[in-house]
Amino acid sequence: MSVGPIKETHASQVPQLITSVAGRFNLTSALMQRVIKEADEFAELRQQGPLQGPKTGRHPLTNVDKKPTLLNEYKIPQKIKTDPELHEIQHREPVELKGPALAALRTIYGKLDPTAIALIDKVQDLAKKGVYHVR
Amino acid sequence: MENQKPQEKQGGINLQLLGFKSPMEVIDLLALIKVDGDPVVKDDKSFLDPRLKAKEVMEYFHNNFGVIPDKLPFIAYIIKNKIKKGS
Repeated sequence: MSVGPIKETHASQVPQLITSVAGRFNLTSALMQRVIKEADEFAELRQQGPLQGPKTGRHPLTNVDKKPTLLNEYKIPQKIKTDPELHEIQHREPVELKGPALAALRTIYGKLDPTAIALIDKVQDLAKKGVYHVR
Repeated sequence: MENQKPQEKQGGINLQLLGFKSPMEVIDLLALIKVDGDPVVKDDKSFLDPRLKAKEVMEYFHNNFGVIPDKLPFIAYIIKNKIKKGS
């Protein structure tokens, strides 16, 4: 039984065979720049958390609209989720800490724990995105 | 028997969630690209050596677009999707 052309293929031809399929996807540099930009945006989104759309529908216990807040975005024990005081805090309008208040908070917590400054910055970021509430 | 969780590789990037089975799959895809007719992998022999191929791909994207290796899976993901959609 003949194996056809495979038998005749010399080892030295293998790189040429492989490269014959290479270069099939010819992109312009403009398109590649756009791809890189999209990839950057996508990577940034992935770093912020799992890819999922905003949660919708109504909360089974509180019967209020689910919002993509910190409390329902991450796994928080149900007991905390349903705490009325926390619930009220959770649904306040976002308030951004600014100026002396932020500086004071940085100073106080910075003395206790240097990592607290990073945490405050993180909370600030979340507040700007409207997913957490800072008073 | 342990449950197999998606592997967190390449600095925490979950390749499986991006639709890749291994880091080499990312390199393989990017190695097939030409930009303005200029092939990402210039030396044909690199196709036979995964290390060389990966090195060429990483160097190309770093030298021409300033892309760090950690971003390559995302670029491959976007390109793969564009190819699938035919755009």
